[in-house]
Amino acid sequence: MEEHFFFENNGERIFGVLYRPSEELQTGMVFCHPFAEERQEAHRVLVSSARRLADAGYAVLRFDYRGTGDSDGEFGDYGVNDRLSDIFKAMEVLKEKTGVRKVGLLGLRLGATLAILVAKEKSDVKFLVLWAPIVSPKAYLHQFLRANLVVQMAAYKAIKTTRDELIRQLLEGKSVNVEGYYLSGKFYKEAIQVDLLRNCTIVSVCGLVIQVSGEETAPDPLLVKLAEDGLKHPKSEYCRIDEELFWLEKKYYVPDSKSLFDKTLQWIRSMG
Amino acid sequence: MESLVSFKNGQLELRGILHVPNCTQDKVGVILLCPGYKHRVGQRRLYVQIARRLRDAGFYVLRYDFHGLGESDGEIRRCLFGDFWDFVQTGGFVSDTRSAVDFFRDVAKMEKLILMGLCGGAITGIIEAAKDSRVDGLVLLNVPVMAQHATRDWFIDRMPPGLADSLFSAYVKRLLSVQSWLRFLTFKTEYRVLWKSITSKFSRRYVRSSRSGPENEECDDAVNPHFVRSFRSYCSSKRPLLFIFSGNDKQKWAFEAEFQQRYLHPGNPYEDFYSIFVIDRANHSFTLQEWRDALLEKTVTWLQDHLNGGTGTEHGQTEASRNGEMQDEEKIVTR
Repeated sequence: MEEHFFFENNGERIFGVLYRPSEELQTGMVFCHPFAEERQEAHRVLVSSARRLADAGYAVLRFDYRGTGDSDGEFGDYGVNDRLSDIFKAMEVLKEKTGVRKVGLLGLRLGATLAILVAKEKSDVKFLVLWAPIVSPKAYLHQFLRANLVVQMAAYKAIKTTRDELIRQLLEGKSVNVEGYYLSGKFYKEAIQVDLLRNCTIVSVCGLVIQVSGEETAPDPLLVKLAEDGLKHPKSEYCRIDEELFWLEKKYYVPDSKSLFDKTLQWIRSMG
Repeated sequence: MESLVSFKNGQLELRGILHVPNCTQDKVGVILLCPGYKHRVGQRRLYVQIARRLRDAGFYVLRYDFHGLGESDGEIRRCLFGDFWDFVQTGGFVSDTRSAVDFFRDVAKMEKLILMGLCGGAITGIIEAAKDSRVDGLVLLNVPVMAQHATRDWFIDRMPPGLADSLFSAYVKRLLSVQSWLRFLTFKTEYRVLWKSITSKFSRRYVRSSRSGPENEECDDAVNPHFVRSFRSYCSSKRPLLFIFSGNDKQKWAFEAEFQQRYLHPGNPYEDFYSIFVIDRANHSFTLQEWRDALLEKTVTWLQDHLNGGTGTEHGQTEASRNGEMQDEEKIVTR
């Protein structure tokens, strides 16, 4: 059963969908969606996965951070800490509405990064499922800024503002338009402080780190290290799944990911 | 106010958000139709911004998910994007749109109703509106007119004049760039694209595409016959239609080269019922705020002029000027 509703955080409305299994509830999960347009591209995969997890007996809460999707606010008005606050609130809402005792987080891309940060703060996060996590948001955002340059080239046939200048503007607290999203200085400055393998202390939570790769590629050493050293738990695991990079614009319409889902479900069940 | 709504198309529940204005004189509603596989939020959250701005101008706005997309019921299987495109182009989501019109007219009690959509949402809108007299107006953003998914190769091969102009000016700007010359001399330039853009720019000969298939009785070219039929039928009923195009988008170049040149010649029987507005330099999903502002300003002004809706709080101040190249076209120049 699905319940679509709004809940509030700091007086602003957050859109959420609660998926209730028909069986007795014991374990629940909060989904942490990825950043900017990756959320749009991956949306239906997350919807399908939530529905299938509910069919398998798990309560799931999906939601949009403030400034994204159907929630209140503008994208550029919120920083990393605001998003963490939204996840804390979503966990509370899940517990209140369902009474589940055990809550895990499932995050995709930057959503997975946020999930780890939440687990560091909140001892009631019992497990983490991390799909293609971003280890270094700084490098990720610098890559993201390239889209601004592409638009400049297409519109003006020249680069009027270089990437270094864009970074300088962000560090001064200004916002920069990237692909229709206003990346705020606040978000940027908070995000570049995060590096899952350097300045983020080890999290003692059981976690599954999944590398999603479109073709047969070598294991990403950063993700292997994240699973081995970052998540200090004997049941933590790294694996690689062959799948379309469904959070990017692609050749295929991808509404679900059976291989990714099956591995996730198998791992969650293995925890008991 | 934004509230969650749902309605049925057969057994499938379609879910959406209804934006309700604080005060308004008339119940004029706008339905935003999903752009392709992107759901009710739209590319780069464009639909949320459109809905909130139109609501502030006094219009009711419904944005909802087609079946198999976003939060709605139903399944669309994994497929090549081209196959998904074919599904949309041939009216795959028209029955969902009919259900939304039923909801907006019968449940939400709208007195007037406009369909608005970007790309796939635009083609869905015109197919539905042609068959449904309850639709009072259409706003089509970057509507695709080709029968089949026009790939990058198709555009390079055909090289519509708008694309040739755009590429040519880009190459000219790079003439003094050392990096560009390095790319040219180290075989990294796409010589085919360069050559086609130069020859097309100066020859100015464009031969429209042809297409074979069972629906050729309606049109002997590569334009989507569903679009042609729907356009004729809709305009014959004397209802207003606003085309908005991005100046830097392939859908505009295809529209001009394949549809406008053939069907919209001066004196055509429909010219009193449609208008074309081009936002210079804009890209497909209007990613810069100035492009979005131009889009919204034009839309609000047009809705107020044609449907007497809204509270009039956002009267357009667009510095529009007649474009000499095409009749009935306005162009806004953004800096």
